[in-house]
Amino acid sequence: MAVSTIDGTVEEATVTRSRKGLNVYDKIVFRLADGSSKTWAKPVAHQSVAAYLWPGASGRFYLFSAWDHRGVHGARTADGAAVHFSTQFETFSMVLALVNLAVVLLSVVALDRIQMLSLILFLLFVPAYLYFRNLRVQAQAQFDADSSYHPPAAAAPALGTS
Amino acid sequence: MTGNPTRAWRDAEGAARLARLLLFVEVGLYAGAVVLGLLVPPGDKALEAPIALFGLVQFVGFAAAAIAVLRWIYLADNNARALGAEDLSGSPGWAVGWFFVPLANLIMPYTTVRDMWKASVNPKDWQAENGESLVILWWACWLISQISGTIAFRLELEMGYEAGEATRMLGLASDLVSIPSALLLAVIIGRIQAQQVQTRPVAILAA
Repeated sequence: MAVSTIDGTVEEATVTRSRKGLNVYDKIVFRLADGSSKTWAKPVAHQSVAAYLWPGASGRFYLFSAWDHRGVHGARTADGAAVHFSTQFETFSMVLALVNLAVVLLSVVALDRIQMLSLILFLLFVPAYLYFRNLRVQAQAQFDADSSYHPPAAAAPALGTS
Repeated sequence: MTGNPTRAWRDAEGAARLARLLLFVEVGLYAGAVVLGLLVPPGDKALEAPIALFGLVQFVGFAAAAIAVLRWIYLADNNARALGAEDLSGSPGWAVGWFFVPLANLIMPYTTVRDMWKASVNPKDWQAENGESLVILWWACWLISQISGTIAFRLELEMGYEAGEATRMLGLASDLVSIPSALLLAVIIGRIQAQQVQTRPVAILAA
């Protein structure tokens, strides 16, 4: 689990699908100030943040990665916009943990045996919930701690240069 | 590029050589198991003891290869970070640990090795690299061998002799698919190791 920032210009942002307020990208390529590129593969971004992820947008972008899952949770652009969206994965993990706990309890009460798969899933989703909760707190703290930062208008080189 | 100062480069050449050697031994043992499975008629009492002994040797071979491979994975993941790859998931410890987490071990070891491969080719922008089909193929073989082996084991445990032919065929399939799985892993270890040594910057070599 990690949060990080990247200062640069969005060079490429290919959306593969959008649903439930989330954009899923094939990749987002950033051009850094030193002319090199940095790719963020298969990231997700809430559409409020995705509105600032278009080719040519420059500023500071707030990234997260969790296991094999990546995304952009915030942006502060050179034109003064600042947007942040809290990740919601912990809710999903909690719901799945509770559903599996219910199945385990039901299997004990009704069938007099433990449903092992649900028990394993419950035991996996509890730490997953804590993990994602920690990620959300870290991401929020990272964005808030950076509130005084304003990207310079000419922070990044023009597109196509290196 | 000067590498990641928070991770020190660690020599993994010896670990890679040992892991590959033990994987080749394992291939020999799997091949032996397949031949035995095809030649020995089921329920042959006279060959029960030698076959049980062969099974024990096979288990020891698997365990030794597993320890060597996991040791190399730890070092190679560490070295991918030392080369400057940022945002790799988890840590070298987790690269090994994922193999032991139920359900997560169906996918996370694959993503770890896949990302390690990419990070060894292009540490600075590893996510720009394409996935490697060898790694996908290795993981598919590994999953098939593990799943068929587990089903065979569970059948034998629960049904005993009644499950005879089904168990035998599944066990045979597991041993058979384990051969390309181990060979592919040996190739992957060799390629990642060579790539990391080639990518290793002068700053790390001098340290």
